[in-house]
Amino acid sequence: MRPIESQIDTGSARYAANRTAYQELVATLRERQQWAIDGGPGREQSIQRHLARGKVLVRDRIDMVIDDRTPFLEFSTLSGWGQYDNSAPGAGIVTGIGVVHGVPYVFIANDATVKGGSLLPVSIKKHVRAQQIAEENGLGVIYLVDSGGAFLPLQDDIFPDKDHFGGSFYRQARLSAMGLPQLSVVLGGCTAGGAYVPALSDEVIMVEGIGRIFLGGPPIVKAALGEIIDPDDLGGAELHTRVSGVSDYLADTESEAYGKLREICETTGQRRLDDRRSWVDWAEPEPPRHDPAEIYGIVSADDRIPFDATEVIARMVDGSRFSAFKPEWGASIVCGFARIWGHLVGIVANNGIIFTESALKATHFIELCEQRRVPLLFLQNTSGYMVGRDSEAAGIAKHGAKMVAAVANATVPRYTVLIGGSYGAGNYGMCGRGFNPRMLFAWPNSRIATMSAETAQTVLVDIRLAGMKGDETTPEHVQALRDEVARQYETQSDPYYATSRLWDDGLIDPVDTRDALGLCLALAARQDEPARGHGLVYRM
Amino acid sequence: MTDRTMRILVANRGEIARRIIRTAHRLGHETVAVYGDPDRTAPFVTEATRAFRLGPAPLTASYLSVERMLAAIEATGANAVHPGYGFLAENAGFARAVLAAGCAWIGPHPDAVESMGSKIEARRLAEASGVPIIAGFDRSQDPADLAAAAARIGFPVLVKAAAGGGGKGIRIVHTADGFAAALREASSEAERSFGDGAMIVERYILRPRHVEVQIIGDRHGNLVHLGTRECSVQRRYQKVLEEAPAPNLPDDTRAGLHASAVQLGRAIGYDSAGTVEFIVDDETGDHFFLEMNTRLQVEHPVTESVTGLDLVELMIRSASGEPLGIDQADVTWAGHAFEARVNAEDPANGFAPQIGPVTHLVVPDHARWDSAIVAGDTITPYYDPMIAKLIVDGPDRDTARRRLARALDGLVIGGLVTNTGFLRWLVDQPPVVAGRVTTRFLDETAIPGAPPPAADQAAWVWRRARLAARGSGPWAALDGFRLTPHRDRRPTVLRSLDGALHESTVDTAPSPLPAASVSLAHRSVAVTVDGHTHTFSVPTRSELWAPAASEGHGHAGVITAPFPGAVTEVAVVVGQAVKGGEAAVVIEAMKMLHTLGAAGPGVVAEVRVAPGDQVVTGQVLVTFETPPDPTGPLDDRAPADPIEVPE
Repeated sequence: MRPIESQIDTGSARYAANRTAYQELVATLRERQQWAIDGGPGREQSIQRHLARGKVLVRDRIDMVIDDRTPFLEFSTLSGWGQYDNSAPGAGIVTGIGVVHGVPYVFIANDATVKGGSLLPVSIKKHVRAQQIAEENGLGVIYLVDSGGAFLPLQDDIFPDKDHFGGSFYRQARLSAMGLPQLSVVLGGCTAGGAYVPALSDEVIMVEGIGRIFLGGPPIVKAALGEIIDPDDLGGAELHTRVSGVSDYLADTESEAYGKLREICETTGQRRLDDRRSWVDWAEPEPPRHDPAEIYGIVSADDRIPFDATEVIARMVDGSRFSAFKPEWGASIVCGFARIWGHLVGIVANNGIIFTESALKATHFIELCEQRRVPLLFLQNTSGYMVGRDSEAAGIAKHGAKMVAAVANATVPRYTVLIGGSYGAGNYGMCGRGFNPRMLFAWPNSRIATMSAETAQTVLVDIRLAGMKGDETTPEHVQALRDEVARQYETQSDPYYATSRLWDDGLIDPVDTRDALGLCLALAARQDEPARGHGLVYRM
Repeated sequence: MTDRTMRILVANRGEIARRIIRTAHRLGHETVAVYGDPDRTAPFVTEATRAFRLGPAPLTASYLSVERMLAAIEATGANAVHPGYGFLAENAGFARAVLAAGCAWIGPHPDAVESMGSKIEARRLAEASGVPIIAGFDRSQDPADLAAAAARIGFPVLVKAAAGGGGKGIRIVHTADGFAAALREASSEAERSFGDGAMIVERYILRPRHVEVQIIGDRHGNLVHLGTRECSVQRRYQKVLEEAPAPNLPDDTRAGLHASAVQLGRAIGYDSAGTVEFIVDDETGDHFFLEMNTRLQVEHPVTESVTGLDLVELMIRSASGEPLGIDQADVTWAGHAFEARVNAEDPANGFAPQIGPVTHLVVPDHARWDSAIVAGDTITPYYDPMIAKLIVDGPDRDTARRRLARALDGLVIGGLVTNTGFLRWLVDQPPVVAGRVTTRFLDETAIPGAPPPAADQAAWVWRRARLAARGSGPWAALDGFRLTPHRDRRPTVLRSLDGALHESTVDTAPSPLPAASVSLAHRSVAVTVDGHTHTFSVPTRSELWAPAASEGHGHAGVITAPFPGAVTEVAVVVGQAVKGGEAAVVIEAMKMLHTLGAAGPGVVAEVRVAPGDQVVTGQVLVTFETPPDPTGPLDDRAPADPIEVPE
C-alpha cells in the first residue's frame, strides 16, 4: 500500500478558515459533553448530595473497575440532549466498553445524579443498544446499578414495547445463555423491574448501606400492607446476601465491591483482547503520516463546497497508506484497502453524489471485502443517489439497490462514520443506522435527513402549494411555508438532534476517529470469523 | 609457567570468593567453593568448579573451622588454598596446616602472617627495619606503667588492643583522669573479641589520614610496591570509600610511604600480596606504621584499576613458585580509581544490618562490580553486611569521582535497604571532593536521615513499564483514551518496604529520570533517586480494597444453628466485643464439631444456650448489639474506638 500524497495546502486561507470554524464545532462538542458529565439543572446539588452519601460518581466508578490507564469507549454521551427540557444529561446512564484483566466488557452504569438514575425512554434505548453491542461483539456486561427505576410519568414510552424495559431483560437473559457474563454491582435502589437487573445476573455484589433490591419498595409496602419498614430491612445488602441469596457478595464500600468485581472477572474465561483470531489480517500499527488534526482544515466550513474523502482517509489510516480500488472509474465513491491500528479494512467513502458507476463500483468492492473477510468502513458524505432523466434512464434505482443489498447482506463487521451529509438513500447504501453497522459515529459537522434543508424547501413547499387554492398562495404565505420547512429540516438534521435520539453511537471529534475505530476493530478481531454470505463477486 | 593445573580451594565466601574464582578460571585452574548452609545456593558456590559443604551457619562450624577446611581439601583433592580476606586468612596455624596437607598456600609464608598478626610484634619489627612508628608504649601491661607512658607521650592518646582490629578494643583518651577506665573497657572488650586483652598506648594524631601501600613479592626475593591507597573515609574504623592513589600527598611523603612498605616487606621476607597501613598526619605529612595485613585486601581492586595488574593472578603465580615477572620499574600508574562498599545496612537507622531478598538488581555499565549477589538472592543475618563493591576509574580524580556519582545514580538494589544513598551523599561531601578526608570525618559528621519515599518517580516508572508491556493493539497502547473530557483521576498506589501506602497522581516524567527496575510479574518497582534505591510493591485493587480478614462484613447480627445438634462449648460472654468470624459457639452434629462465629464485628447481647443444650435448625444461639453505624459506607475505615469489655 502506498502513502497518499496529500494535496492540501495547510498555508491557504481556506484551510485556515475551515480550521477555525471546525475548532468551534469541537469546542461546542466538548462543552456539551461536559454538560453531560456534570451539567444540567440542579445537577451540582445532586452531585454534592451523591458525594455526601459517600457514593462515587458514575464515570469514576467505571475507572475504578477497568484496567489501569486503559481506554473507555463511551457511547452516546449526548443522548437526551435537548429533550425533556434538557433536564436529563446523558439520559442518566453511561454505557461503553472498558477492559478488565485484558478482557473487554460492556458497561451499563446508571447515573444517580440525573433524576435519581430514573430511566427515561432514551435511557432504555441506550441500555438496550449497549446490550446489542455486547451481543454483536461477543462481550460480557457489567451493570453498575444505581437507579430509581422507570420514570413513571413517561411509562408508556418505557414499559410496553419491544425494545422497552422488557426487551432489556430478554436480552440480559439471552446474553448470559450465550456465555457472555452478566455481572452486577448494586449501588442504589433496584425497585420493581429494576430488581431483575441483579436478579438476572450471573454474579451479584451488593454494597452495604446503599444497595437495595425489592420488588416493591417501602411506599408500595405501605400502600399494600400498611407496614412501615426500613428500606435496608426490606431489601438491604445484608438481607439479600445472608438471607435471601439474591446477592452473592457483600461489600462494605464501593471500592471493596470493585475489587471483588475485578476478582470475579479473573474467572470468567472470556477471550482477551490480545487473543487475535487467525481470520484477522493484522500488522503492527503505524501512525498516519499526515496529522489527523488537519481534518479540521479539510472539512469545508461551507457544506456546499465538497471536500475530498481521500484526504480524510490519509489522516485516519496507518502510515496514510491506501490501496485504491478501481480509481479510474466511478470517482464519486472512493473505495480501497487500508489499515487502522493494524487491522485491514475496506473503506467506502463518498465524494458527493452517488452515480450509477459509483454505486456499481461500491457494490463490487463490498462483495470483494465480503469474499476476503475484510471489515468494512463507510465514510458518509453524500447528498444521495443522482436524480434526473439520464440517471433514471441508466437505471440508478436498480444500481443503487444493488449497493443497498450488498451492504445489507455483508456479514463482515461493518462500521460507519458520518463525516458530512447523510441524505436520502445514500444513508442506506452507505450503511446507515437501519443497516445495523456494529458502530456508527458522527462528526459534529454532519447532517442527516431525507434531503437537505434547501431541497426540502423547494420540494415540500411545491407539494403543499399544489394542494392549496390560489388565494392562499400569497408570496408572504409561500415565504412563511418555506421558512417553516427550512427550520424543521435544519433542526432535525442537526447532529445533536440525531445523537440525542441514539441515531448514532456518539458524536466524536474527528481527531479521535482513527482511535475509536481501532478500538472497535480490535473487538471484532477476538471473535470467531463471521459466517460467510453468498461469497460471489459479480463484475458490475 | 606452572606445568600442572591447580585445584584452588577458596576458603572464603561472597564477593571475594567470586573474584578469586574469576581469575583462577581465567588462568585455566579449577576451583573449589566451600560453604556454610545459608550460602548453599549463593553465586560463588554455583560458579566454582566444585563445591563442598562446611557445615551450618555458625562461623565456627563453617568458615572459621580449620578442621572442616582440611576435610574439604581432602574430599575435593584441592592442591591449593586461597584464603581471601577475613576468616582464616591471617591464621598462621591454618596456613601451616594447608602446607602440611601438601597444598600450595596462596598467601605469604606463615611466619610473616604470624609476625604481623601481633601488633606489638609488628611494631617492633617495623621499628627495627627503620619504618617510622607513632610514639607509643607496649613494654608493660601494668596499668600504672601504661598510664605513665600516656603522660609521657602527651594527651590525647589512643589505647588499643595489641591483637585484632575492626575497631574493637580501641579508646581515645583525652585526659589523665579518664585513662584508667578507658584502659579497663578496651582491655575487656579485646579480651572478649580476640581472647587477648593486651594493650598499646600511643600518640593520638589530630588530623590522621589512613594511607596504605600495596606490596607484592615472590619466592625469589622480588618485592615491589604497587602504590598507595587512601582509606580515610571510615565509620567506626570500618572503611567505606577507598581510592588509589592517595590524593594530595607531598612527594616526599609518598616516596617515604613506598620506601617504608618495601623496607618492612623485605625485613620479613614477604612473598605474596600484602598491605602496609600507615597513619599520615595531614598537617605535617609525617607517616607512621599502623599495621600490616598479610593477605589480599577488600579494596585491592582500586590498585588493580590504576596499575592494570591482577593481584590474585600475581598471588597464584607467587604461590606456585614462579617469579613475579615484574620489577619496580615495570609498575606504572595511570588515572585514578574509587571503590565504594555496598552494605546491606540502613544508614538512617544507625546503620542497622538489613536482611531480605534482593528483588531488583541493575548495575550500571562502565563500573566494576565485585558482588556476592545476583538478583533473587536473599541476604541472611549470618554474615558480614557487605554485599558488593562498586569500582570506577577515570583519567583523573575528579573524573573518577564524578563517574562514581553517576554509577551510584545508576545502581538499583531493590528489596531491602542498602547504604548506596549514603555513599552517593558521601561522594559530594566537600572533604571528599577536595580529597582531604581524615579518619574522623564520618564520625564527626551528621549522617543524613532517610530520604522521602520516591513514590511519584516509582509510580511513573511503573505505569510506563505497564504500558510498554501491554502490546501494540489500540486497547493496550492508547493510554487512558476517552471520547469525552472525562479523565481517570485515580492515583497509582504503591506500598513501600515498611508497609506504608503511597498515592501518586503525578503524570509528568520525573526529571532526572531515575534508574529503575520493574518486575511486572511480581508487581514490584525499584527506582534510584540520589543513589538511594526505593522499592515498592504495587498492590492490585482486589488486594488493596479488600477488607482485612479479621474485620468481616456488615454486622454481627445473630448466630443461629445451621442444623440440629448439641452445644459443646460457648466461647463468648455477654458484653464481649467480637470480630467477624470469631468463634462463639461450638455444636456437635453428625459426630463432627462445628464452630459458629459472628458474621461481622459486634458486642454480645445475649447468650441463649449453654454446653449440653440440644438445639434445632434456625434456633437463635447468640445475639449481638451492632456497633454504632459509621456515618457512611465510604468513610474512613479506621477502626472505631475499642469497645470496653465489662469485667
